[in-house]
Amino acid sequence: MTAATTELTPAVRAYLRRATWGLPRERQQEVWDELEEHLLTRAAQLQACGAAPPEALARALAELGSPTRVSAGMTGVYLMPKLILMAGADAVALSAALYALAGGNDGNVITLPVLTNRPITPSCVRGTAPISYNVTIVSRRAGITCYTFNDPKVYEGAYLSLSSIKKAVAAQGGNVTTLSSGTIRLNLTTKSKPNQIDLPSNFTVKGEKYYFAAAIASSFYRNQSNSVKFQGYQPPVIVSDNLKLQFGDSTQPEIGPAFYRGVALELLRYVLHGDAQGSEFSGSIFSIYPADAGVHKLKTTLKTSEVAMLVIRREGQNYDLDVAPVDAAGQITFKSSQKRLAFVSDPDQLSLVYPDGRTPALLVRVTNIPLGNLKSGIFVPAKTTSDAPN
Amino acid sequence: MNPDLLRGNLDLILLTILEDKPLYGFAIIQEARERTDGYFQFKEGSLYPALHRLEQDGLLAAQPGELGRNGKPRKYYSVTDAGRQALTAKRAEFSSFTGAVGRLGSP
Repeated sequence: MTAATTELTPAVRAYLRRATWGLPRERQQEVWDELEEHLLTRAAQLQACGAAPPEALARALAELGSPTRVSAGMTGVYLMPKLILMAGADAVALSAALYALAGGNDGNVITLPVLTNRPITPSCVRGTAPISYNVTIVSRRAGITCYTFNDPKVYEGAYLSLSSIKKAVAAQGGNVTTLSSGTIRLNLTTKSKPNQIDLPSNFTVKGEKYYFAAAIASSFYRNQSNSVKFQGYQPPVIVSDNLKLQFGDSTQPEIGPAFYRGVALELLRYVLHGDAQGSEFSGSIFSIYPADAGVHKLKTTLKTSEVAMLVIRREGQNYDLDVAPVDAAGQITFKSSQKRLAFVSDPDQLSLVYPDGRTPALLVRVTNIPLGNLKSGIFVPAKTTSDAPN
Repeated sequence: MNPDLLRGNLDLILLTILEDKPLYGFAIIQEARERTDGYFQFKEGSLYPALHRLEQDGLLAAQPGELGRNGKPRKYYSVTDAGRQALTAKRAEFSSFTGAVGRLGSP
């Protein structure tokens, strides 16, 4: 930002930076200048009425209101689809309405339509044909066997179109480029360095490429500070200081499970290491919905619509994870490969060996807690063990 | 006043203020306050996005004016021909609405 006058204080600069955050580069300077002029003129007016210069500037800032609101309104003008703007509502009211729809915060809301089923297309292998009873062989030719999975859940997921990805990245002040390989690159800038994330597309529907929704979620919270939070299950929302990304809407209940399935491992990384970009995390999800799952219904004191994660360490860095919402009665229903659980209060206790054969399990509330502090979401229910019915 | 009323009629108010002469943001706030004896208290944080939106929609045009206190030209907004047409329509709509509300309240 090139605007600079000798009268600007650090507080004013911080305000203007925040207020112009996320705007297209060619608009940032224009809005900066306009707001700066407003602040200085109002401060001068207040000084003329007897206010001391620091007090005058502070009052002018306060009157201008939250920079987040200004930023939300401006990004609403320059980044929201023109079609929405032409619906007639003014941008601020629209932003407020979307915000209310998403559960409420002070920021700009971007609602991203989510596709929950990918086309059933055959997977092909050369050589040994798959023998699982869960697949149907659709062709055998020249040593290549193609098959589809019998379980439709295999094709479920949370996917975003390229246009949605672009919208979400633009709202963060970045852009998307397509590499020669067809992979897209999300170009984002953190406070200290450029941040590039490459995403191969998963599939194409009606000429539009689709990508894992969790990938854009990851880009969002890696690009922002660790103050980013998750909210809600139907629909899931990621919240930063001045932006909300809402994935689908409440008419698509299947988005919640698919979305959280995609981000579960990242959430675990935050619980274990406190930072998505800390020491390399070598864990993997053994299974989220194992075929022989035990069903654990846990009574909690959490509010409805909070989301929690069940973590079990299987061996080494392999974890068994499930993510589920709190229902109206404060109950959460988890699935796990383990049927007898004992809840612990620290990730280090996941390696404990209980004489009665129970498996240590960690419960973490993952919504409405800054990701950088996600470990504070660990909780132990009043009933510290759970036995899934056979 | 009820801020919802202000927000719901922001376009009408801004177009009306700018109907006769171009003004820059801070001056618009002053003008609104003075012409309504302080009834309209704009939230500045809402004003600027609204001005930019109206400009994007072609209802307002912007041009640089004299240098402001930051040494940059002030951005003056004026109503375009499309903006005048929109203002006429909005006035008629508002008049119909207040008339109907008035009739509801009549004995």
